Amino acid sequence: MNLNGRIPSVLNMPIKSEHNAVFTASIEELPSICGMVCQAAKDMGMADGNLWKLETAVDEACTNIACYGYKGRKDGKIWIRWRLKGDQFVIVIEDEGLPFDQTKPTHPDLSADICKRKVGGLGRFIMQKFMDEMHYDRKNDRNCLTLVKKLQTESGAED
Amino acid sequence: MNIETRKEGDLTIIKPEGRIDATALQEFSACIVKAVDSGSNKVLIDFTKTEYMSSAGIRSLMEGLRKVEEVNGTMAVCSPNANLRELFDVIRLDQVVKIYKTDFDAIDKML
Repeated sequence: MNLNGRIPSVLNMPIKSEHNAVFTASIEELPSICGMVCQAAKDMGMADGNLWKLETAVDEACTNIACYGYKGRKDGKIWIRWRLKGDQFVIVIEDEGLPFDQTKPTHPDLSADICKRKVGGLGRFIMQKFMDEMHYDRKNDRNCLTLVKKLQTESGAED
Repeated sequence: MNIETRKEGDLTIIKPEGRIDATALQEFSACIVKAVDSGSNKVLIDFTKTEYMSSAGIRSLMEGLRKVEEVNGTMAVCSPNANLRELFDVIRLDQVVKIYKTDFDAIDKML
């Protein structure tokens, strides 16, 4: 194929490569995991108003994996991959803990009576409120949780 | 995490600094329990220096509130930043605890 010296346009497109990291599944790693993910999202242009929501969702997901998925096992790992897809930040969190679908709807009791108020499922409830999309799959004995968050807030303002 | 505690009359003011996540929840809960156990039945959680809170932090706040209610006491929170305020709105925290904009307002009303 003679390109007459022209370079196919696809080669000029920026490569939106995928990044990854592995962490020990322990709550002590939470600040490192959240810090790394937020820095990556910030570098990709995520607005502050969305960054803290992403941080919260990643924190909740990894806390659930460390505390419930691995049930205190010390050798558990969390695999994290992230990439930019259009105007969305996509992060995939994998673990080899017990099968656990964190996208399942949860209805924590938010009623006024504190004595009857159950807080179970609150973390998943917050994740579902803060993320634009959540997907779950169980593949090769791994839980695969995908979180999607737009870079900009709904108003488009960089708050 | 660093947690500052001080008294104003019969009110105990607890001021956690930084992140309240799963790594900090026991320390945060213990502070509220300690205030109640030492005889205080009015507790104010001042979030002026709190940057971030997860559901683990909310859970410890709820546990603290239950402890305060066991002694027929009162607990309130004040000075959440914009992110915390949005989180509190999502979980409807205002249905179970009074949220004041500033520590000045809270102390004025609670004393």
